[in-house]
Amino acid sequence: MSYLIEASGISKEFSIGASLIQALDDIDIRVNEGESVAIMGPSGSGKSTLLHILGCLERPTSGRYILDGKDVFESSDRQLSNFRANHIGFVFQTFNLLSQLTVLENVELPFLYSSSDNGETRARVTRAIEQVGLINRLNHRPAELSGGEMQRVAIARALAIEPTLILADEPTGNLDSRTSEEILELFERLHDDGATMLMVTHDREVASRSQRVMTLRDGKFIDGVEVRS
Amino acid sequence: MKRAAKIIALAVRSLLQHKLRAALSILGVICGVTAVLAMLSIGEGAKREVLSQIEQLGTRNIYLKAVVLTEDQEIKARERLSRGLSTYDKDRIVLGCAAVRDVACLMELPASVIGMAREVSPQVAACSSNYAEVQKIPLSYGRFIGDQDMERKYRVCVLGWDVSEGLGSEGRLGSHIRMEDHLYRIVGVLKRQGFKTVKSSVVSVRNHNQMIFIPLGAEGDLVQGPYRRGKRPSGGLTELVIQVQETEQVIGAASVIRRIMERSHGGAADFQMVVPQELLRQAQKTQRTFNIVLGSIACISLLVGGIGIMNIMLATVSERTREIGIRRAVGAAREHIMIQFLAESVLLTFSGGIVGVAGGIVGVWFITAMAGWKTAITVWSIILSLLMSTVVGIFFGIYPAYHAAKMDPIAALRHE
Repeated sequence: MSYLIEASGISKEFSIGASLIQALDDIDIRVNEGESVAIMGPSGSGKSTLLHILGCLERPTSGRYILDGKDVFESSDRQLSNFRANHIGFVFQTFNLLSQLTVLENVELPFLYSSSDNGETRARVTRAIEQVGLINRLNHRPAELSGGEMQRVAIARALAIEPTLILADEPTGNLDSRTSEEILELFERLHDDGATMLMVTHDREVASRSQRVMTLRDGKFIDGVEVRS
Repeated sequence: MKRAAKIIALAVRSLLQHKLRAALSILGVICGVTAVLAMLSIGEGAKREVLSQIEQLGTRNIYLKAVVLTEDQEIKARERLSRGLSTYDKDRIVLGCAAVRDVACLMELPASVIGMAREVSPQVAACSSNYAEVQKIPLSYGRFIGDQDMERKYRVCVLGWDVSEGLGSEGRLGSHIRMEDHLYRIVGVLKRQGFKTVKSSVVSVRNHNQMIFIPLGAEGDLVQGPYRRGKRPSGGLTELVIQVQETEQVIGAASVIRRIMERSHGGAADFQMVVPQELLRQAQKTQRTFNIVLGSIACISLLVGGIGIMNIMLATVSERTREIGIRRAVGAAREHIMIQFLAESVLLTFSGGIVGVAGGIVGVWFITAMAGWKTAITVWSIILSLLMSTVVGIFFGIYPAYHAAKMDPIAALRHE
């Protein structure tokens, strides 16, 4: 069978000053459609870099990455951007909403750059906001929302484009435990609805909510793969 | 289209976040555009003024004017066998220059009219029958001087509008007016002409409203007295108006005529040649210098304004690094980021342009009211001003926008 994500031999080197840092070292990762995977690891283990590469935000130094049957890094910057706009939903630790835009406009933002701008944009946007339960806050600015609400807006922004893949980078890192729980429940619900999710975290508790946990250390996956259910 | 509207709306939103900053940053552009518009309007006004003067003279015409000589000069002129401006010159020009269509003669006479209202002091002049046609003077009623009047030296006259009005009921067609000791029958009255007196004008334009024309040849009775007093140019004629067939031939014909005149007058400087088209060229040349000076001032202020815009945009870009990262993450390509920041800088300078145009209109109005200069604001000058402000926005916005577009999305996202 073919995987939704199939990356092999992914390496990434950074040069900081004179020294060369190996962030990722010959990584292989495969993810099936509809799967939820957590990547764990201490800070500096390269997990965010891996997420950025899988999210087409960054190119690896070497390696091959096939996403949904397409060889991603063969494409130009423009095509990569277009790919992000149409297929990848990012959720960040710091929410990354634009403060000058309302909830509605923030969720609409990816459509400004996506090629699929048909009449149903507004419907998709409101549906996504409904899914995260913020339909009554449409015209609020991020500054008027709580942390949990802001993260829910960010999730709605990722959902609205009906992405092939949702990538979350420490999505609960800035939230208290009760709000974190809400967000994780939301993720589980999305996963149950069929979304493919890849989450980066250093929190074992959070990671254990995924189907599969992989641990990254010094740019390499270590030992076994923990599989839940 | 919808996307473009959205990009503009987003740009407006971003700019409105820092209203004061935006307002201050476009001050330079406002000044520049105001200067551009003022320059164009003053230039246009001056151009129209010169054009209207020269049009009154006729662009197909060349004027030969007699110069009143001092006694010494007159002796020298006689030695060179020059007879001053005369009908002989007319014949020579008609024969010698093929481009000439017609030549009209005019002789100013120092005669006074009896029974004239005080405010009008008419200039009496004897002229050839083609004068009205060459000078394009329209008749109100009656006729102009005819060939027969000249041949038979009829004592008839044609009055300018003001003269006819000034004479009241005596100024009607068929009545007689008295000049010196003779009666002249009125055969025609000229239409009232728009006459603009312009201070500091290069050329004097004759005011036909205040003239009385009599046939050339019939002036004998009026000439006697003053001629003896030696106040008139020796050849008799005051002016020859030469009409050239085509406008393009004027400059060429002028040099031919100058040569004919110099030869026949033996080099005596007893005439002066005025070519309205040459004056037009001169005026345009002066205008060009003026435009270059004002244009450079406007350009410098636009340059300064543009640098201000660039400065602000660079600050904005670095301030919004994180936003750039976010946009890139949700799918913006480099071009999208570039367009967004370019849209903001163009929007800034364009609104500066609009304020500048408004400022320019007020400024021009102020100049007209205070200095009394002729000005004219054309649609083109407004379009040009707005276009220039847009170009400044693009030119000085490109570097900051490029700087924003080439940022590494990851680094931008991590930016605090």
